[in-house]
Amino acid sequence: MTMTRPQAIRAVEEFLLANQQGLGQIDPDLELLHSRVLDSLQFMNLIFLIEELTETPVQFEKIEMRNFTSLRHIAQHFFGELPDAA
Amino acid sequence: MATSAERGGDNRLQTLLSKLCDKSRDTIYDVHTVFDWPDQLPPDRYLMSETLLSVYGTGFGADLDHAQKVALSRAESLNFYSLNIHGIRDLLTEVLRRIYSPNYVEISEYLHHFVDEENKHMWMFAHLCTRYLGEIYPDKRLAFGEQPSPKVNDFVVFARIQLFEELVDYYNTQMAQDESLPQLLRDINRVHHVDESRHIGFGRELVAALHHDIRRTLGTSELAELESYLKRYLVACVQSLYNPNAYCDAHLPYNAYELRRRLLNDPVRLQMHADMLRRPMSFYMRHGIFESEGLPA
Repeated sequence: MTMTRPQAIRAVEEFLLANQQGLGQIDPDLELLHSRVLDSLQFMNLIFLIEELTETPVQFEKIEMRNFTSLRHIAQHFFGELPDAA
Repeated sequence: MATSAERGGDNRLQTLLSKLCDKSRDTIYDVHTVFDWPDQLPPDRYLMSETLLSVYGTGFGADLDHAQKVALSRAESLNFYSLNIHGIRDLLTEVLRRIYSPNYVEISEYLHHFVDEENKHMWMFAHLCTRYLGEIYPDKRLAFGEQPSPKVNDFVVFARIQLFEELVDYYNTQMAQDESLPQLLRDINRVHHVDESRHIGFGRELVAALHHDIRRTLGTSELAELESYLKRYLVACVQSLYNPNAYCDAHLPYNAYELRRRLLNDPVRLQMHADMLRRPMSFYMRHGIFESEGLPA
């Protein structure tokens, strides 16, 4: 079943919130790396989640860190092809 | 790292290094000739021990037939050796960055043996993957963000190396003795285990010395943060053994990502993870590097 873009963004947000006590939501423009909401130890699991949501393998050699700096950047880079609604 | 003089003449590490260097010289081998590489590996035999498969002990594993488990053993074998290749590349980079730097002059002689042996390991794993399994799985880790002080960074780097080697050695030890595996696989795991026993001995001594150094300057909360980070690193290492790409390549009749998630939360698998990590956890507890044995979910 193909995900919609809002569903995929929400799934990534829930993934990031799982390790953040006291944080209820993530501003789409929050700097994920500097704020330590995302660190290198979570990265592999995030990649597998994105692959599952998009049903497409992530081409690792094409990965750039700037695509992971905010929830908005993740959505733009990986979920651009997903429909806005079911 | 404090020099042996700064450590009050404690030459425990120097004595160990001298023994390890002698052992490395006595057991030196040519990685290009030490193994008998057959034309092909038997297609119907396990390439990873059945008890080490990521589905072992679960309902998913019980539902697979022999052919499916053999296919999974090929894919998980490829994943295991690929992780080794990427891990060795990283550790070589870190060790070479430090060799002959002022803090490591005393151990540089040993580091030459370490680099030589790790380079051989990387070659034999890569040769195995490319010759028989057709590829090396890409590295899906990415290092960024963490920039602790140089002394803390040294401790973290060598702790990561040692913990990764201890986890891998759990697999090597079992596969070296598993007669269900082809001889080549047993031999590769045996050779790796023998070399890694020395590297782990060195790593433990160095990590304990480095932690002794930083404990004098770090506060309780900073030490707790380091403990938390290393435990999360251990969990990430274990989780890397569950690769959805391997489940896809083995054509398992499950959604690969859903399978990974369920296996990582399976109580039987969590107990197996505790078994895999028992020795390093015990060492870290004994030396006060960890205050508790619990691992994050």
